[in-house]
Amino acid sequence: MTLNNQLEDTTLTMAIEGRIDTQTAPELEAAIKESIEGVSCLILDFAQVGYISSAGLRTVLTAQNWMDAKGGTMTIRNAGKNIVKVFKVTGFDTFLTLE
Amino acid sequence: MKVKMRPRFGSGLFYSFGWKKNLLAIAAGLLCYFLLGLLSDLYSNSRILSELDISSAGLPFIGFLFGIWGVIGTALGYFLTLLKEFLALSRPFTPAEFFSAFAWVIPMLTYTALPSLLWYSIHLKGERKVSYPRMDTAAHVIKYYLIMLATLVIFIITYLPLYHFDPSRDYVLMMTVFFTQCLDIALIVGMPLIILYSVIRNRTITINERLVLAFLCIGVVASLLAAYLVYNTAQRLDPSLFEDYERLMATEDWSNSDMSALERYDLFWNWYMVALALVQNILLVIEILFMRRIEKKITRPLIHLSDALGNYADQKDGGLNREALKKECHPYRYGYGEVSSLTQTCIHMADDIDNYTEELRQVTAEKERIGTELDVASNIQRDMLPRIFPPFPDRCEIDIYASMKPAKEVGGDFYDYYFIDQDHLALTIADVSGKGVPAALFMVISKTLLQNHAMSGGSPKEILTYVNHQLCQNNDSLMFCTVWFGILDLRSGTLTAANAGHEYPAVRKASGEYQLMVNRHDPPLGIRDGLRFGEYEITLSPGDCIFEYTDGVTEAVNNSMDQFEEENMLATLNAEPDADPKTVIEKMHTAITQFAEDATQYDDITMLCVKYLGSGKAKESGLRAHLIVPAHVDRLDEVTGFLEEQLENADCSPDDIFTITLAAEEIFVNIAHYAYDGGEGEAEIKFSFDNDTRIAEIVFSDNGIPFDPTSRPTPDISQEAGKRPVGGLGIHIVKQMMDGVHYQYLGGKNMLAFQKKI
Repeated sequence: MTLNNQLEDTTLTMAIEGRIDTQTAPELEAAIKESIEGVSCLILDFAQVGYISSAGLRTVLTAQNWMDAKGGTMTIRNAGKNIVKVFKVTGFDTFLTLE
Repeated sequence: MKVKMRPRFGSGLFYSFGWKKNLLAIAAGLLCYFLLGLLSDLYSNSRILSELDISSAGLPFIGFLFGIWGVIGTALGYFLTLLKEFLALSRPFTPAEFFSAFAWVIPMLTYTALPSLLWYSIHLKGERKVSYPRMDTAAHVIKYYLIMLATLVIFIITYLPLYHFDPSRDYVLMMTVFFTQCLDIALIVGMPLIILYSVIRNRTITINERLVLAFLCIGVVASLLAAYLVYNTAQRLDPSLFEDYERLMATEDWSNSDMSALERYDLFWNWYMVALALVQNILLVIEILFMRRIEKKITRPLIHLSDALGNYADQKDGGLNREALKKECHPYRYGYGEVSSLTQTCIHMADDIDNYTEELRQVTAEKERIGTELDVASNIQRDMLPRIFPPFPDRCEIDIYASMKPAKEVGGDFYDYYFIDQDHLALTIADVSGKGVPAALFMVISKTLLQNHAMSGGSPKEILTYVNHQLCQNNDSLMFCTVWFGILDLRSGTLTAANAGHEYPAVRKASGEYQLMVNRHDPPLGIRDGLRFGEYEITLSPGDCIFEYTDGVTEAVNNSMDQFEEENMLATLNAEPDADPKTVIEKMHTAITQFAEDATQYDDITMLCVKYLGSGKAKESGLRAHLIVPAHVDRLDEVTGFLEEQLENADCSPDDIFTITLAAEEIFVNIAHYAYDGGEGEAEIKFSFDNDTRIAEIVFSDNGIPFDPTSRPTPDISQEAGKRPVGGLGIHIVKQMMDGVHYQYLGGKNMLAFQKKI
């Protein structure tokens, strides 16, 4: 998994590339935690994400909770069909902002 | 005799034993002094020891025996005697008496201390350290003799001015008497004393010491003879000599008597002593010559040989030493008969020892080489047994496990299994008679023949009949081999088996108990050519299990030599009848180990267990695969990689690959995290795919804590992000995305299966 951060003002766009599974999820969580200081709008670009497991879902949930806590927003962009399906199956679509 | 003088006041004479022993030495010196005084009184009842008499000859031995402390004791004794005399006198000493009394102590102490001082100061050539006074060599005897001689001369010279010179007696005559009698005592009494001291110290007596004693005895006898001769002669020449002397002594009338009686008596006594001393000294000279001869020809060669042998034995470097020993021995090869023969024997022995050592070295090296080769051989033999489990991961009709625990020596047990064709599995367990290399060789032949012939077709009885024929050819050493050989048809579960003298297998059918399958039994292979073997058939249903073993199992013994027996074996099997083959065999090993306690394992313990799982999953067309990995999240890639590969082979769409691997990950991660409670363990993944129905089934199993993930409540997914629980999502995803999810706990295993139509 590789990450590509782009910060504009208080908007952070994180382009994620690869799989978000049990092994890579903690890495992603740490990366998000490190870079959301002073960020009010977090955009996760899932265009290059081919796979997400429940561990990845947990990370997404945690990130959402962090952003909610500081009154920011989090958006998931360009999620693929299979990823969206996972979000739907788990009911994550009900609280995530998908674009 | 070559000597070099080196005063050594630190050793011998002046040695200090510690104050207690020094006090003892002083006391001993004192005591000896008084004992000598007593002797002197007996001998001539009128004089104290300060006078000249025979007991004075004892003084040097106080120095010899007790060193400087004994001399001090002697001096003390002298002063005590003086004190006693002073008290008896009841008037002060006159100056002359006083001077005489103190002046006398100097020659007396000289006489006491000098021999010992001289002994320890004279260093004989070839002596590393001056020995304590001994009579073990001619040189020591000569040294002793000369020292005594010198001491006496010095004594007489220092004594001379002090002697109460009696003008009526011939001084030279008196000195001669004193000199000779002291010398005689130094020989007759002194030498045995010194020998006694040495014997007490060494607890052994040397040849030379015995020789000295023998010569002394001869000397005493000869002296007595000489004394008798002198006495006789004196009586013949002067018949009234003794009467006149007796009369003179009785009357004690020195003024009026015939003084010539005393002179005549002194003359007699002089001759008498000179004769004795002459005999003694002549004998001593003979003795010394004799000793030197013996030393040169016997004692010294013996000591030399003993040293040379000691050196030879001390050093390990054979060849060189032997040459050194030979060189040392060489001068004595032509000595006296006995010494020469001893020398020859020593050389011979050294040769023999060297040869023997060399031989031993070669034998040991050879033994080591054979040992290493045997190790290699036994490894090769062991490696011939299939040991990778599961052996056929792509076959889900059977579960096989086997093990052989060898006894110390290479044995002849073996098991084997292999596919004859797509559906027929051959199973073998066998035990070759005997142990060691012959058994191992025979095992290799039997195993190869069985497999080769089985692969070329035929039923078990035909195979055994043929192999028996082969084994009987040239089997002069009459080795034989018991074999149970079966062929399992995986489609029908039919097991056709032949038994050549082997143990009855234990079979568990229809979820019942394990029982011995007592069927036709033929003689072992290799015993008689031309035998026709029989066979029998049983049908295994899915779940049935067959357990094969060698007599190492049933005949395992404990310390009281009881055997494990079939009963214990069956009881162990039936304690957990549902167990899978691996567990069965592990439990059996545990049971045997517990039974045997610490008794030695005499025979190889070999077991083979096969569970027939049925042909249901073995579709004609489809895919099967199997993976065992350690249950650790690090191994996740292996699991997903494995499934992706299988699914791609099944022409699965990327979307389905995605969902199936996702489900698999959730299950695997779950096992990795929870099944072994943080410990190590394995997870097994079986993949199967049916071409007709296009249903893929994946079964996860682990040996961990029993847990049914499907029983977890469905998480409430309608809640807001902040309130949502983190757990339970994984199994939820699996349930949602797969067509069916089933859990069961079977044979000690968690088994979770899910299917998906693709």
